[in-house]
Amino acid sequence: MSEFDPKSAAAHGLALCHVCGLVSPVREEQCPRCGGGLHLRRRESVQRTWALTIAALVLYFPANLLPVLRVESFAGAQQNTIMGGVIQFWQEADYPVAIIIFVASVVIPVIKIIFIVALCLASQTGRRPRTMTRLYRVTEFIGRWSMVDVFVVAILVAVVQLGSTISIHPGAGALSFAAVVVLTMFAAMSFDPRLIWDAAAQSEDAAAPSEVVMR
Amino acid sequence: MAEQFSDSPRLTPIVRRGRRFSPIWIVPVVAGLLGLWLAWKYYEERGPEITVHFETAEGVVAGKTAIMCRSVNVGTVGNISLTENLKGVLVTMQMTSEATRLLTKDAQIWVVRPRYGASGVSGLSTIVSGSYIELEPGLSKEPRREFIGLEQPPVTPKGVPGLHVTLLTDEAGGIAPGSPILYKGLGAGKIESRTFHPENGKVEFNAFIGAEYANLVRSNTKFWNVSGIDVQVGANGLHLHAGTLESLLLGGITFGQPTGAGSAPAVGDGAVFALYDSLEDTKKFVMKNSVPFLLLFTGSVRGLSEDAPVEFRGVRIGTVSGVSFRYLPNDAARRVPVLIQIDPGLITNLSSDSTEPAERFVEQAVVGGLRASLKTGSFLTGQLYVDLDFQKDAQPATVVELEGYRVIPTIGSGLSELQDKASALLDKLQALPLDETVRKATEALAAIKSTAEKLDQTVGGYGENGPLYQDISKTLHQLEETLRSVRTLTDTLERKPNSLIFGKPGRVAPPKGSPNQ
Repeated sequence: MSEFDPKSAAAHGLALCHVCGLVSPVREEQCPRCGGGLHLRRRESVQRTWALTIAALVLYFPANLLPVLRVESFAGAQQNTIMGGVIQFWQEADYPVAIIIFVASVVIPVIKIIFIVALCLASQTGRRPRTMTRLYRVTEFIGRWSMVDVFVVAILVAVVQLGSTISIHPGAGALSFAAVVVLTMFAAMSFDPRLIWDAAAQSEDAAAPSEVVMR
Repeated sequence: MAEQFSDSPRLTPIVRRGRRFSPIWIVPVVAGLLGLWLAWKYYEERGPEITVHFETAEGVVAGKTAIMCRSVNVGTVGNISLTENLKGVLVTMQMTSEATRLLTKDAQIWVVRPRYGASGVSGLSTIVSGSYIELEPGLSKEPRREFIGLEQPPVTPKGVPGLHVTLLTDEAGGIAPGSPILYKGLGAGKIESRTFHPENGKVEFNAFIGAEYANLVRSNTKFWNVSGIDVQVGANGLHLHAGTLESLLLGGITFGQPTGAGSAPAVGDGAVFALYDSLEDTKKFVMKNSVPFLLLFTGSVRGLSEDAPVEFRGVRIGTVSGVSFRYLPNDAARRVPVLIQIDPGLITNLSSDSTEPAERFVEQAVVGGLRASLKTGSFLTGQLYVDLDFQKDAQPATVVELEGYRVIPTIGSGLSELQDKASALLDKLQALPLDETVRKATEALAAIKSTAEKLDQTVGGYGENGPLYQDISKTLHQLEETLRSVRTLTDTLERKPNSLIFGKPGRVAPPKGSPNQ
């Protein structure tokens, strides 16, 4: 038995062009319309997703532990980490700003990594395919919002350059953080949600006979 | 659903197994290496954490204030907390790894704030930039993690080559940190700190002397105060001496070798010197160590003051430290106890750390005839001093201990001896038959006078106007004339011996055509 749902196009050897969306027989190997490569599923999807997620997870630690900003002024140099900034805003009773930074910079990357790990696992077990597809949509949606911090740093560094009076430099944390966001976005992109349904179909196949027996 | 595709030829998909490992795994490996590198760098840069105790954390901000070493950032203040006894603050500082070797035992840490002091205005830049903490590395290699912060910045950095000495004095006398140390009027160093020791009432100065002058500081060097204006009125008139304007305003110290002193060994860091009030004071007697001895005098000690010198054959070896009956309250003979302090280093070349050898030396000397006596130092003021000397005809004696003091036997005090001698002399004078002697002397003088008068009369006849003088003068005149005629005669005879027969040639005309004419 093939690993695809018999009702799916893949079971019939039909593949969707990644580029132009034309459905054509996978045997052709190249899309007859645009010439793009044809694959039934995204190539090495799970492996890529895992690899990028692990990379993001590794870089998540320096992103939060190392300073993202170094402000050098005549009053001396000051370095801030993301959490340091959050705590500072919170102490200054700027609760909305603190919450926004905390959510965008700390919570969302973590949620994204957790979601992607859950999706990868689901693509192998096939459990709760609908929930998982919803998770995938959420992941795709929130991905770009994490870049707020990186944008802020980039703008500050570009704008505030007043020589010896005050100047702002990006810290190692900012680069790590940007890498985390980009890697999670790539991880979400490289994940093929159809794998969830493939796995779900397989597990149904496996479960169906037992269901029959039970009846 | 399958039926929908029945019109088209059933296609069999190519199932191609993906490679076992996708090259995408390079990404997490690179990320892992990057993460490890960042973590390693973080811990590498992260040096030790130190704790510094300050009196106040004024101007120090947690997480912000930088620690600088010669304007290079070597750390950041981490946390500020009050000490347990609430007497100060403990500031923890996160140092960078390169600062590790700076954190040695003699490193100094202080807060740089705007200051106005004797050495001028400092730390002005911190008005704008905020205070920072300065770390001055020491020379020691021994690591240290807990420091006591200085309240005042040290005047001279530790690393500058030179000599650090300690000066002890009774009065600060206008000398403050930053005051110059001069050598022959040149700035040789600076006073770094001033501390008062309540336990002995001394003021301690830490002085720094630059490397080029350090060699001039010898173990016998004297330091004295040259602050202000020195006015002396003496037999030579009014002397007014002032140092440099700087020393006039800030106070100053100068140093030099005592005149005539030979070369003494150079000193190392931490040597202790006395600071004198003036150049004159340096010539005064100073005891380095002292051994007390008690002297018991039978006569009056009027004129003997505390600090009076104790001399051995004219060389000062000690000081009178007290004259009081309380040293020996129960003496039946009511002798006057005089406590003296002798510097053992001045009588023996024994180690002056222990008093034992000096005591034994004195004991042996007393057996050998050493006695103390009071002598007059100045007849004008009647000041007495204690003189120690070997007496040949002294009664044998030993050092005894009374009331915990060692007693050096004395011989009659100089003053009482003098009094005795004076009264004896007066008695003898009184016994002399003065009146008669004077009368006889007057008579003798009168006789001498009359004799002299007679002599005068006698001598008067032989004067210039006397008849004898006149006679002698006349006779001499005649004799002179006679001698002249005799001379003429002899001249004539010499030229014409025949004139004796023919008479003088001038008397007859010479013959004509004489070849002689």
